[in-house]
Amino acid sequence: MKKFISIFSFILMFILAVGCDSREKLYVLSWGEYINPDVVEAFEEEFGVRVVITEATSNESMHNRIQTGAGQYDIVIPSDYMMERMVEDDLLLELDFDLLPNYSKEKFDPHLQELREEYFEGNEKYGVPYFWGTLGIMYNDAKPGVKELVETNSWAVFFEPEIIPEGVTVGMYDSSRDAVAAALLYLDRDLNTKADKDYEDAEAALKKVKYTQWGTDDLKESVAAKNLDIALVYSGDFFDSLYFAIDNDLEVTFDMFVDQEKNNVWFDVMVIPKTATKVELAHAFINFFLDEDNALENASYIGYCPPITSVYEAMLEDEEIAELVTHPGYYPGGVEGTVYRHLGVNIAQKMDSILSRVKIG
Amino acid sequence: MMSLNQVKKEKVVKKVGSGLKFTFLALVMFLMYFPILIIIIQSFNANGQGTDFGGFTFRWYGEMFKDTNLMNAIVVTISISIISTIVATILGTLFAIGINSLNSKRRKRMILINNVPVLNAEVVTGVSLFFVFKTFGILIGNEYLLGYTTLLIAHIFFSIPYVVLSVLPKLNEIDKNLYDAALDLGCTPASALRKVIIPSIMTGILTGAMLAFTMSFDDFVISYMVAGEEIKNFSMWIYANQKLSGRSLVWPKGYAYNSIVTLITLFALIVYNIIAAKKNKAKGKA
Amino acid sequence: MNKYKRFAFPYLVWMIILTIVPIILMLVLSFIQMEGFNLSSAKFSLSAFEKTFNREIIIAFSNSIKLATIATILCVIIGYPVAYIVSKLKIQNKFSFLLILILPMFTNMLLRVNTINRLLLPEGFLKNVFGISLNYSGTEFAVVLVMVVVYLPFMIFPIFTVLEKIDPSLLEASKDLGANNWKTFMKVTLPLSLKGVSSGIIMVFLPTATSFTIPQIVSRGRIKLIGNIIEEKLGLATAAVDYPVGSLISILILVIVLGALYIISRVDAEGETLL
Repeated sequence: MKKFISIFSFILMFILAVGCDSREKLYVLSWGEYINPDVVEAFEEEFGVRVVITEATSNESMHNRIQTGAGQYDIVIPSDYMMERMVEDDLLLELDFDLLPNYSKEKFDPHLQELREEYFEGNEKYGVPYFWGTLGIMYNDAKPGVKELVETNSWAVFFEPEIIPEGVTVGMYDSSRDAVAAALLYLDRDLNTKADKDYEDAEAALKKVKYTQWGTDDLKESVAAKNLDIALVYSGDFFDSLYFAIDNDLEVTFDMFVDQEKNNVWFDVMVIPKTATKVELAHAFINFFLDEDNALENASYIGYCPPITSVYEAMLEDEEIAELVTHPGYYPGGVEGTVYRHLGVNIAQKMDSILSRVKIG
Repeated sequence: MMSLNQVKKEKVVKKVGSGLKFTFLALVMFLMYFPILIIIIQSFNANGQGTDFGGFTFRWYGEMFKDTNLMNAIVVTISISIISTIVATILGTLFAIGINSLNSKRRKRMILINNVPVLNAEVVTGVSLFFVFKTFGILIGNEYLLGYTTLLIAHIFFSIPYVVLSVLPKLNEIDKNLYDAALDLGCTPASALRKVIIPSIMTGILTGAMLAFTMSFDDFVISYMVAGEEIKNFSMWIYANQKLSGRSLVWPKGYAYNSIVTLITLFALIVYNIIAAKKNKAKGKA
Repeated sequence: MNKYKRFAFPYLVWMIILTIVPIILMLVLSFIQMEGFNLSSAKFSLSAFEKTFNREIIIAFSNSIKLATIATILCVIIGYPVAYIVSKLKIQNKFSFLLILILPMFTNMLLRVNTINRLLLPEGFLKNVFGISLNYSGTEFAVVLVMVVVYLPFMIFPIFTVLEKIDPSLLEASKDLGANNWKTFMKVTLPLSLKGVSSGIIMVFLPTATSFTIPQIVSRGRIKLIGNIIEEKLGLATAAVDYPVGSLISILILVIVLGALYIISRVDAEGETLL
């Protein structure tokens, strides 16, 4: 009995020692591997706090977590259209720009700033851009002809089984918004359409090819590992895999094609939900990432394109990094693309149904 | 009397029979063990991605201890399993004794309710608990309750039914008169419980405890839904990292931890067997 | 033992709070229509029923039943002989032997499932080290295979337990009355072990039918079972959330489970079936 109590109390002490942290905590809801842990650590040290990062795999689940109160967050990093929905649902605080001395509109890439200004009214009051990018087609050139196939046909590789040679496998993103968008791009329709016909056609297109894999960020790993030949990805996914391969001395036979003429351009933003408890600290966090040095360190680690012009230019000046970021798929500024708008819950559910039906066949 | 040929035939059939049995068991064992062997091999694989064998190394075992996230997840898993098993075993045993004393109708009803968590889809149980914790949180003014405590409560919740299911049959087996005999000999109900009932159902209690521990140690779905933001158990750690296979070499560390667990379990089993064998020998001699 | 009745009451309360209350909550949600989790926009509606009984969910449901049934049958075919053979072994501690056979069960399930999945992909360890390239990941075959490998022990244990309880003198009697091994098995052992088999079937069928991690990982996102649908609708995956539909499906599954429980309680009065 005595032994039992002493073992028990030892374990208890161990747990308390490991788990206890008296520092103030800032809760961030973000995407997988979307923040450089070193930059986070620097923030933690400067402000004497601890940052707890929760990872979501989709915009919809982010919205859900905030609305149901599944988690308490001080900072969330949704995409453009989800910010629109959150504002509509009255979930976000207006940013206090007095607390964001590092913020200035002029800092951001002019193309991006144009998109922000054209976006829903007041969006600039709620969200500060974090990274931006496009959709891309990642492929592995291990099998001959894949590169030409993708570059010549662009979106059609996902929807025309006739052009895909025997043995070439294709993967689709398991997010209804993006899968449907790819179909709409292929069909030359508006990405923000509300027309039933467009969605019917999109569904028909998605049903044509039997995708070998439906995934989110595991698609890039499959392509890099040659378990998949072609996949729909976000532009930064490719660079993530590229950086990893370089860091680990791996052979790189994969690449990405970004359609410059018709595409989706997106930007993720840092927002503060109304349920945040550490509002000032949250602003400090946003401010921290608006600082050029921090932003540069962050962008050098993450495969996505930074929204701050001077940061991007600094990357171009570094020889090693420049080699990687001059890839045509990196910078979204020259791409003719549409930004998603929030189309309402009904259409969101319609897109989900489309995906469910497509998977069944 | 059988002829020589018949005897020979029987011997051959027996041999073929045991050969087949042996092969069958070996195949099943291979099916079950192959993934484990791969896990153990990969834990020593210098090639962190596991795509090829890059040489033998102990690197991952060392790095495992340096990975704070992984270590925290392991501590959570082990501590939650131990604590929830202890609590669930004690409560489960008492509850089983309680249920056993009820009249037939009430007994059946309680057993029915008891079995719901066991058979219900884990997703549904997880969500139910999430709803309850959320609602409770709102009622007491602290909405964001999810954390170590809710995880612990959830584990206790789904472990108790297994203990009850292990103890009840044993309670049925023991002599009904044992209790009355104990009282006749001067025991109070409390000490009858301690000195008579519990020892006679001990095997059921231990089985229940083992079952509870196993269910808790490996749990994913329910933990995922009630653990909240900050803490993860080992399964949640795997789930979080299975998608992030891109940048961080986390898998080999997970394999290393798991290999250690497998070895400890195997070791414990072998030791137990040796002790049991020794006890039997002693019994035989005495 | 009537003094001990009082122990049952707290358990009842505990279970009511943690089991019955959420059921009521989910029942209520099934009859509501709202935007996301916006309670203020909630209103009474039967739309959840409409959305649930449409093609994709019904197909997911029937796929779940199909795969779970195949996996369960395979578990019986493989598991029963294993339990039988081990119970007939003439060694000291059969139970420990069984445990060693089933040791992999104590390995983290997610880890095992992921590992098996990687073995079933064309590129990877198997190809580079052994030259074997399997391409089964993403198929129903793979899902069933993994289900069997993971849940086989749950079939073996109850059967083994029941086989061990069979009084050996019954078997002796049967032999004495002239039955050969096969007849003894068919007429004595098998009927007596049926309770264990039904336990095993339940312990394998229910988790596999409602599993969401196995199909998600092993089918490369292609196969969606009812567990995945619930996961999605209740906000844990990438799709748009639909609490009413998720709750309704959960309630339906619960009803089926209760139905199974009721059938068991008719067949076996003492509640011994599950172990």
